[in-house]
Amino acid sequence: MTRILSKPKRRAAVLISYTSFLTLMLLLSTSIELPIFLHIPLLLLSAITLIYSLYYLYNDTQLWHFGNAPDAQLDERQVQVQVRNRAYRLAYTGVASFFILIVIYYSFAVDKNLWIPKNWEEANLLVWIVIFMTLTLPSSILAWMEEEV
Amino acid sequence: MIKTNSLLLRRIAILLLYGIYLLLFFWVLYQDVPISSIERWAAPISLGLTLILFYLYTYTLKKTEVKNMIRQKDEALDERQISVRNNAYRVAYIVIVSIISGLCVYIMMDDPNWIAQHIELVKLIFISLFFLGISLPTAILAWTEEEI
Repeated sequence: MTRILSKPKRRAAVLISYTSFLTLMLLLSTSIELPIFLHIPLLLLSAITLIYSLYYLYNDTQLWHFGNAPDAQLDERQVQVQVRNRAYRLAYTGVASFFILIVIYYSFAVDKNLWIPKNWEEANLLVWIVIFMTLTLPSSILAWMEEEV
Repeated sequence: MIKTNSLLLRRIAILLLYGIYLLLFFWVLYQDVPISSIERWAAPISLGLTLILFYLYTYTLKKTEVKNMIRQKDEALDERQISVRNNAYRVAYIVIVSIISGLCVYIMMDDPNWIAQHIELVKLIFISLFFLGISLPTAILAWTEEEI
């Protein structure tokens, strides 16, 4: 049976999932050095929060299916297809803007000796952030914006 | 006045557009190779290719419904145009995310210091993603739609 979440609950779950993911990535990188008694509990807490928020958002709801299913599996009146594609348009605008900012930053960073990833941990951190964001963005936009999902 | 180009003309222009871009990409990437004859001609040929690329882009897409549909807000378009435009964005998103994910996997599997060691290449990749980012939805729309 499909579970329906209210819009505030979906928005809260989206915010919590992205926040916990970013926290987890920062804690896994070597750039943040916390005492071990603080580091391990925070790491576990952010990992559990991330898993639970994603489970809460996508398990038994239509959000993941709605965001990623082929057109043929959505409703006949094409309403779902249009709503979904609008979310993709916003996601595309977001990703393209992000890369424009990266191009601008990178062109300055190399010359002005600003931060760029210099080791495995820092590159890994960026790569996972990009992969997670791009894979979840359309479904998150749907969860954030739509009244009836 | 809105101009119309045939599907064939649009497709040829798009193939040339990305083909010339790829040529420029590799040209810039390998311009440090010490072959004096190539170095001598690199700058004027690059400039020429850039001008052709710019001409193709403006000739094929400027003042056409393709560009109009990408730029306009939903309120200025009819239901079919919105549907077609948003579908082009969805395809573009899938393409660009696949490219980015492929690059990310490559970086993860290669040398840990890859980004720091390949500054020029990373710059070129970012510029290419920027070029793809701004041109891809328009190119998909121009490539796929019969009636524009």
